Formats: sequence, C-alpha cells, structure tokens
Amino acid sequence: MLFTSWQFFLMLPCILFLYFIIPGSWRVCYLLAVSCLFYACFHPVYLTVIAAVTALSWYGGLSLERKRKKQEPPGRPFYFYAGICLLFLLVFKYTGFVLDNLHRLSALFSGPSLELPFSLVMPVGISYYTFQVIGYLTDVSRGRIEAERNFLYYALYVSFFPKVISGPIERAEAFLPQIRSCPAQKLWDGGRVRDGLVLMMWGYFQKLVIADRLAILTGEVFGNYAGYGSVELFVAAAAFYVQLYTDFDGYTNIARGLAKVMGFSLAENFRAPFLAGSIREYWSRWHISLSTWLRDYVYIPLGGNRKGTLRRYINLLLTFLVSGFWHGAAWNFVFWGMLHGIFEVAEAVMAPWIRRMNDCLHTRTESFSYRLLRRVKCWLLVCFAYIFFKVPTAADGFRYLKRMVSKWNPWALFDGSLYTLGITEKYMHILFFALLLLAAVDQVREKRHLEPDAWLAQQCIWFRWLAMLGCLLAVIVFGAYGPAYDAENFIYFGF
Amino acid sequence: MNREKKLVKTPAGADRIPEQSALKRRVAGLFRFVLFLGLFACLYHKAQEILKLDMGHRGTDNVTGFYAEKEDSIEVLFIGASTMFCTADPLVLYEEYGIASYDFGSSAQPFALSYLFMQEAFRTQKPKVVALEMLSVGNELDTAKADNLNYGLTDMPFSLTKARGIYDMFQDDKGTGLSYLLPMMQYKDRWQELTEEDFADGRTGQGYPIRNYAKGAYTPDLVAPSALDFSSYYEAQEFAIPERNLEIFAQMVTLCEENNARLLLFKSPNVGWNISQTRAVEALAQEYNLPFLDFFSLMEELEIDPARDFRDNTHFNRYGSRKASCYLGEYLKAHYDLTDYRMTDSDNSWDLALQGREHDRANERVAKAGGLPDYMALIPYAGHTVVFSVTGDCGQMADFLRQLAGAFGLDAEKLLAGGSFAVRDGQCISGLIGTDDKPWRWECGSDTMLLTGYSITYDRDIYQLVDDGLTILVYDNEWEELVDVAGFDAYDPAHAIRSE
Repeated sequence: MLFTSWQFFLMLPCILFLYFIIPGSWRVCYLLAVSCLFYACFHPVYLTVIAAVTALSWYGGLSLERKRKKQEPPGRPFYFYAGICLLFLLVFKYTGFVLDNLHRLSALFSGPSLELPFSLVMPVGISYYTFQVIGYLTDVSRGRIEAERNFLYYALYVSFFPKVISGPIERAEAFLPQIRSCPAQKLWDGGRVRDGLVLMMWGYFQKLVIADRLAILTGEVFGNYAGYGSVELFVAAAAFYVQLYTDFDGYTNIARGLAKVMGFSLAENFRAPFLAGSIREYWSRWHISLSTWLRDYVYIPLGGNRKGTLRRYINLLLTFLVSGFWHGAAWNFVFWGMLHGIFEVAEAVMAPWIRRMNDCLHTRTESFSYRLLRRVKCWLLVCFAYIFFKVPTAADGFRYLKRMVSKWNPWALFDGSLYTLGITEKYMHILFFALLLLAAVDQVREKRHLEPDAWLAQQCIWFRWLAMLGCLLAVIVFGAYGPAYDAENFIYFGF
Repeated sequence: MNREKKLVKTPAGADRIPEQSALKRRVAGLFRFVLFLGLFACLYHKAQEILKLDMGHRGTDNVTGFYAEKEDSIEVLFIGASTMFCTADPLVLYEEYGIASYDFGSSAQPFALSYLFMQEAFRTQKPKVVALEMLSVGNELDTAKADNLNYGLTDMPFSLTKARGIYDMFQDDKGTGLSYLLPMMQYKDRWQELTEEDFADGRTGQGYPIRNYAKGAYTPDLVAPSALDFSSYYEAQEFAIPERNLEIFAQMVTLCEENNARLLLFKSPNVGWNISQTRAVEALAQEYNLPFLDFFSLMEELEIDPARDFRDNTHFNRYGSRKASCYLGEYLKAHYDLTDYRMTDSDNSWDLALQGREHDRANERVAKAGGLPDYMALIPYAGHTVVFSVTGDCGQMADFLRQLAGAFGLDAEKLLAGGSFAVRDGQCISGLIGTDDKPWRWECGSDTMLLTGYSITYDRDIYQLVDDGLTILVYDNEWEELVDVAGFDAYDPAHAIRSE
C-alpha cells in the first residue's frame, strides 16, 4: 500500500479517525496493528522477517543492557545480535548479487551454474529497519540509551508505518520517548494536524507533480540513451537528480506529515541539497538520517579522522562503499558510492591548493558568484554520479557518459527536441513553475530554517488557504496519476 | 462596563488574538475546517465540470437529459448502446402514439453498464416497459476501452448504485474503477486542450432543457455513402453469450420483475451481426419467456431500405429510425397498457420536446436551403436575428433588394449601394448601415458581431461576404447560436454560397 495508492487514500481517514477516538492506553497497540497491516499489504510473509528482527533486537537490547550494568564489555553478544539482524539483510538483499557474480566467474572457467532455483523477493524496508535496529543495539551497548523493556513500544519503533518502508532511519533516543509518551499525550491539536496535512500535501506535490512527471522524461532517455545526443542526455541526468530529490523528499514529507498528524516527529532527511557547495556539504543535506547513521556507526567506529590523514581517506572510502552497497546490490550502486567517496577525498586533498590559489588571485570567496560556481560544480558532480545510480549496469553508465561527451548536439536546445522526450510543452511550463516553487521552499528552509508547513502557519489565513487550495488543485490536475499513468514507485522504496 | 481581554501570543509568531475559551476555539476551528472543505469541494467540482469532456450530441444528451426528467414520468424506457438510441425515437413514439418514453443509453455501451443504467433508471422512474437493445450481449466487458465507459459514466451523478455498479465491473482493477467514480481522474489531462467553450455555462444538455429535446435519441439526417451489405448475416458462426453477461441478464430480469416492469428485447440491424447471434438472443428470450423484436427479420415488412435508411454500417438514420419507431409504437400499444399522454390536459415535457425539435428542424432547413427565394421563405424571424448585407454590384438582384428595403421601411438606394441592416424578431433593429458606418459592431447573444465591408466576424469565426450580391446571417436568439451564413451571388441567386 503505497502512499500514492488509492487504497491508502481510502484507508487513511479511517485510520486517523479511529486513532483520535480510541482511549490513550490503546494507541500504541492500535498503531502497531495498523503498522503490521500496512506492512502485510506489501508481502504478508515478510511480516515474519520484520517480526523476527524486532524480537531478536529487542531481546538483544535487554541482554546487552544487562551486560553493561554488570560492567562487562558487550563484545560477542553485540556482534551476535547485530550480526543476525544484518544476516537477514545480507540474505535477502545480497544473495542474488553474490550468486550472480559467482555464476559469472564460474562461467568464465566453464564451471557449474550457480543461479538461485527460486526468486528471493526483498522484504520492503529491510535496509531501513535493519540499520535502525543495529543503531539501537549499538546505542544500548554503548550506554547512550536505556534498552526498551516494553516489547510493544519497541515493535512500534521498528515498524511505525509512515517510516517503515523508506525511512527516515530513526534514532531510538529520539523516537522511543515519543512512543512512551503517546498514551498520555493530548492528541487533537488543530494546528499540528493542519501542519501535518500541509506537509503531506507538499510531499504529494513533489512526488506527483514533479518527480513522477520527470520520471517520464528520465525513463524515456535513460531507457533509450543510445538514440539521444549530449543535450538530451545531460538534461535527463539533471532531471534525474531533481526527480530523485523530489521523489525521496516527497516521500519523506508525506511520512513526516502523517506522523505529525498523529503527534509524532520524524527526523529531517533533507535540507536544500541543491544549495550544497561541496560533496561533503551535500551529504550533510541529503538523506541526512542515513548519512548521519553511516557517520556514527561506520565512519567513527572505523577511526574517523582521528587516525591520520590517510586513514581518514580510507575510512571515507569505506563508508561510501557501505553507502553504495546499502543503496543496491549491484555494481553500479557500488560505483556510485565509490565515486562520492573519491569526490570527497579529492575535495579534501585539493582544499589547501584551492585555498592557496584563491589567496593568490584575491578571489572573493564570500561573493554570490563564487558560491554559485561552487554550487554548480557540486551539481555537476552529483548529476554525473547519479548517472550510475539510474542505469541498470555500470557498463551502461560508461556508455551513457561516452555518448554524452561525443554526440554534441546543441541545436536540440532550440529545435523543440526537448518537447519530444515524453513531456508536452505545456507540462514543461508547469514543471518550470513547480521547480520555481521548489526552489522558493528550499530557500525558506535554508534561510529561515522553516519547513513549508511551519512557514505557511505564519501567514495570514487568506494566503494560507489560497496556497493550500492551489497546491491541492495542482496535485489533482497536474499530478501524474490515474488510469493514463503507470503508478511510479518511490525510488527509495527499492532500497 | 469595560472588560479587558487578555492577549496571548500564539505559536510561531502568529497574530496576537484575544484569549478564547477552549470550546470557542474548537468551534471556530471546526468552522474553519468545514469552510475550507466546502471551498475545496466547490473548486474541485467546478474544475471537474470544466475538464470533463462534453458528451452531448447535437440536440440530445442521453445521460444528463434523463436525470432532468420529471420523476415517474416515463412509461417506456429504452436501454442499450448507440444502436438503441439510433433506432427508437421517443418523439416519434409520442407524436404518433402518445407514448412517454426515453432512450437511456450511451455509445458502445457494455452489457454490464446497461445493467447499471437500468438500476439507475429505477431510482427515479417506474417504467411499465423496459426495452433492451441486445447488441452488446455478446461482448465481454473490456475495461481497457475507456471511451465505452466514459460515454455512459461521465455525466452520471454520484450515487451508491453507481459506486456499486462500478465496483462490480472493476473487480480486478479497482483503482481504475475509482477513476470512473471521480471523472477528474479520467479527464485531468484535458487542461492542455481547454477552450473558451469548456468554460461556458451552457454546455450541451446543461441548463438548456428545451435543447435536450430528443429524449436521448440521435437520428441525424445523414445517409450512408453506399447501400449496406447484409449478405454476411446468414453465415452462421460459432457464438455463445459470455457467462458474465448471462448472469447480468438474469439480474436484469429480476430487477425488472422487482420493479413491476416488463422486459422487451429488440435488436436493430447492423453489418457484422449474424444469424447465430440472433438465435442466441432468441434462445435467451425463450428461456425467460420474454418477447424479442428482431428488426433484421422485419426489414422487408417495414420496407427498410439499406441504401437510404442507415447513416453507417451500424446505425439507422432519421428515416430508418422513423420506420422502426413506428413499428415499436404499434407493438407497444398493442401489447402493453400504456397511457396516451397526448390526451392528458397538463403540459408534459414531450410537448416541449416536440417544440424543440421543430425549432431545430426549422434552423436545419434554413442551413440547407439553396436558392434565395427558398431561403427567404424559410427564415424563421421569430426568435432570430437576421443580418442582410449587400456588397458590390447588385446585378439581377436589384428589384428583390428594393422590395426587401421596402418591407422594412428602409432606403432602397442606400441598401443597393452596399448597405446592411439587422432584423430581430421581424423588426429592423439597426436602421440602414451604409458603407461609411462600417465597421459596425453590436452585441448578439453571448458575443459581439462585427460587420465590415468584406466580412462578418462572430465568436472568432470570420465569414466572407460575397463579392457581388447579398449575404444573409441568421442567428438563433433563443438557443444563442449561429444558424447559417449564406451568400447569394448577384448573377446566380439560385445557389447559396457557404464558407467551410
């Protein structure tokens, strides 16, 4: 049951209505039941996987806490519980990848076939909740948080339905207290409910009006890249970056808005990533819940920047390698992750040189133009890397790049070719205005540190209603949904 | 007594407002919520009305027209696809037999949709007879053919019956089914092709009851380019009515029984239908002990001419429909106890519809008239605006134009010298407009008409005046539409010239 499915739209009012009328003491049970039902809608069998991971990590947390209280090192038990949880992820996500590569190797030496005799469907959200529970076990073992004794509370922390399929990867220290206070919480707060709904609406706007419309263009060009020239390929790469952002941020806003309606606060996942001036800054703005998780549970345990420059660079590369593998069990994702690692290391290596050069040339590094150029540079690097994210194999990525630089056709910018990529001229205009709105919202996020719902709440009621009605109608009329469209999954749903 | 109101600061720097009791705040919040929802619902409805495709034919709008009918006013209800509403003409049935009937159908209507139409009809009407055209009984429901469903479902108002009907039709694809319940989902992409007409209030069948005079029928005055070839009819082929349609038919029979209506089956002739299908329908009719009128076997008796009585391979035209309708009228009168509504004292909508049809036919005659004398004789002055404009040399027309000027008390010589004038309801409303007074503009209906020395512009369409002679424009004030613009050459007034 995707957030954009008609089933979800029919169910949501009923879910919320019941949530607001049931007694406080039942709320957690109710939300857990709804979360299970929501999860079961995707693949009922995999409810057992999430249940097993939840039970194991809950018990593991209690066990690790007992050890900690006895002042024993967590050692083996931690690796045992975290390892088993990780094993689920490895089995479901990477078995096919490993066997496929072994099969290819075997084929090189005329060895036996190593293909799986059955297809292994990856349980939805497994990458997210596995990281979440590993983070929880780590925090408990380090004594940062107390282990949760109430299994229902813990189960809801793992499976809370707005975030279970695509995050944000919630930290236990931030989310478990909200669950604990849920039964006693005053639920109905008109302002909060309204803000939550506004955030959801903005998420739907991002997803249906921008991301899914751009998906038509990127699907067409990336699917037939051999038939297009540089301009179309470049436009498609840039469009994919925007699509990915609006798709994932759209999902996150729907999830955060929905949680907000129910009185929960989910972690921020994006902070105007298009305004990043460097790859390092980009990762502090993009998929924040994952990047901070990788920082806290991979990069820092590896030694972070405490063990010398070379180790720092190696740690960075390893962290981005994990990031690449987390995103997908395919070499193109690994390559994409490594590219980001290389970019960040290169930035770090070149930083003193650039600083020296700027000093020599008396470059005004605080000027708007300098910041703009840095952003453009970052944009190009990220777009370049995302080509490998979108194509099915790394080899396709290289072929795409080769074509992008060798089939130069600047006239395509002027002869109307861009209107033949699956989006009509009129929809291009709508997209243009939608992107302007997106840029405005990101500016407000950046400059005033306000989410769209919080900013709108500050406006007078007339403007607020006008904006809300306009946004609703725009989603309904310009959104890519309905019988004429293939429903687009959320891209990060696949990870 | 002065009462001080304590001021409190609301979150996020909002305006300072007087502290209110919790109850008042809740009531105000609820009021705002309801108002917002109301506003949204209005906007949504309006947007949907604009975006929805206008399904109306000229003079008829089967679905919206049906819902505009007075409750319990229809005695014979025709249900089915286009072959139904091109065969049974309720106005012929009323005019000749006094039968109050309605064609409640839609183009390419699947059988399952016919059942929904029947259910919908019984919500507001208590027909004594339901006549079902059987063309679609042999076809499986193909939900991928959106048009076939949109013709019938777009203008059908929301009801639980409609929702249930759609749910039954879309068991395997409920998401698509939902889009028929909310037409916005079907038509939202039309925003790219919206025109001024889409924003007009009086779209066909909406707000113009008299224009919906055809009572659901569509019987244009068109003749198929060549005689229909029915030779393949007798080539027996394997045919079985789909299982699902048999179930639906059984439900239809039950529904009619529950509503004390008698079910009558009929089939109009069309190329492609064959004897195996006819036999299957006959067997079905026998199984349920229902009458079945097969117009193919009646073609000889009714003197239906394949060269003249069809507008294409599937549909009767006005002439064929009249023959079939007369037979249906005779049959219905003979076999059912039907009231002759012509004899009732009170006005009924069929009388109004006859007036509407006559009005339309009068316009149609003008638009088809050839020579100037015929044209002048056919102009319906009442309820119309007529513009006469003389250009260039008047040639053989001079005497006629002098008479015309005299009839309206105008200066004949000025008219002959390139004058123009407008007549409304038989009265000259403009005086004589000389060449120096042009361009001349005046409000006509919902738009402005502009007359220059060379053309008439109305509703963004430009009509060229004849080089030498008389151009006549006829505008229907009541129906607010342009009927015809015809030019008559000064040296050949026997042939009207109409621009494409």
